[in-house]
Amino acid sequence: MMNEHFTKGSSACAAPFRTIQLHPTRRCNLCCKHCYSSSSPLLKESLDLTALKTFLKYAYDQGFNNISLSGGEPLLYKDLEALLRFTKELGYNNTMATNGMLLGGARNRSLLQYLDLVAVSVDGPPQLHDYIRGQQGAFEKMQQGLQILKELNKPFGLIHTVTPESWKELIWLGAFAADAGAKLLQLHPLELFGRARQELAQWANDDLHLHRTYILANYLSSKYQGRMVIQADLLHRDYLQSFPQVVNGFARSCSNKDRLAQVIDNIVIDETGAITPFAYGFDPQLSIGTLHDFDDTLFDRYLAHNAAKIEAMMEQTLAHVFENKDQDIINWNEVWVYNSRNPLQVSA
Amino acid sequence: MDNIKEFEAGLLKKLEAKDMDKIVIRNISREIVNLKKSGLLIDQVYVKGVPRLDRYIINGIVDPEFWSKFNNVGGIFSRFEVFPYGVIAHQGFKFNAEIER
Ligand code: SF4
Repeated sequence: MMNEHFTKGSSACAAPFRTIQLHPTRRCNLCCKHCYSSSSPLLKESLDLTALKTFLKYAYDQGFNNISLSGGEPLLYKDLEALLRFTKELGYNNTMATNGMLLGGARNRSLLQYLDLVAVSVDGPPQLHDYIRGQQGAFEKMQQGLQILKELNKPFGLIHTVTPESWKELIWLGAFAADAGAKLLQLHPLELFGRARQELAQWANDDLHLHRTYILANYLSSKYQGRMVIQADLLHRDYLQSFPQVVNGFARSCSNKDRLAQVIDNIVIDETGAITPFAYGFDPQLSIGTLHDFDDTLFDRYLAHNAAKIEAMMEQTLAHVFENKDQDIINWNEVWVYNSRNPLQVSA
Repeated sequence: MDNIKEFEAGLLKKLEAKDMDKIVIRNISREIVNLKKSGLLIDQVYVKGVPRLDRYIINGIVDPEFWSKFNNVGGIFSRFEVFPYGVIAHQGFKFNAEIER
């Protein structure tokens, strides 16, 4: 039987995972130069577990099914084990992005049992990694973390922030990831957001770098097929033009537009309890609400007030991307967040 | 193995060239996207910091001409990834496929 996904004109459905990206704390053992959340050892605020659980139960019933922990370093969140146990029992898929340096302790090893996938950040070969991480020996400690994941048979991936300094290392990185036993290599271009804006402004990725990353990522994808998934968070403009529904939940033929989880694949909860649609940094004026003050009508009310506006913004942003023939390779996440804060002027 | 190393060195060199005409690099990307649009593995957008292992395919349109070249493989492709090697070096297309039985 022909796979229905290959049938011309088949309906375009939402991703199987609807994700809640959780930043339970921005406290971190590092202070990386490229950190989009400007996390650091000095930050103390963290999410209240009881409020979080109540919201996560509601969100699960509403169709979200994937937890993605970020930070700060999630392993520094004191209630992490209780949180992961709770979300696992509810039925969520649990994933975590970590710098991999704190996996050695008994508590952290033990809570790995509740995680379906761990992603460890690697910024390049040792020297470059340590430079960006602002700590000598960071690479080595991260490698020890990978070793622990391997020993415990825990599925893991590597996340790499691609910079103009690192794209040449992508072939090295592919080999490093494969040798380490990673199942995933995710390549995300540097976005000048958070601390990166001050510390790495000179490393902005231009269109040429994005092309290089795009080409190399596709090469690696072919090279490691069947062994490791290569995910580059970049789209070619022509591709996006053919398949806008990849990013536009409102354009999917089988989306129920009355369900928030079907039109917004990703929501973010930060350490203050703010709930933001789409991605970290999205315009706070379009915030969904907060953990501390919500009821069971939150998502419905949000869509009733904002769906038309967001859909129009999405269409304008896409139209702008399609018109700009100078920019072939698109970091959609960056474009969309930027445009949410700097709306495009639409001519009458 | 030597072939791969040679190819990779050549690829990096080609991408690295400072005075490179951007048209060349744009064409390589376009070759890739054309293959993807032929109904192959579909990209998905991930947001920063969200690790994911899933893939999903929407509206994969199989171009009959393209596939007729490969119909001796038989079966249905559940995943297919290609890199236009021929654009970089004249070795023709290399392709790999996973076949759903
Ligand atoms: S990038 Fe990750 S490891 Fe580095 S400071 Fe930010 S949260 Fe911490």
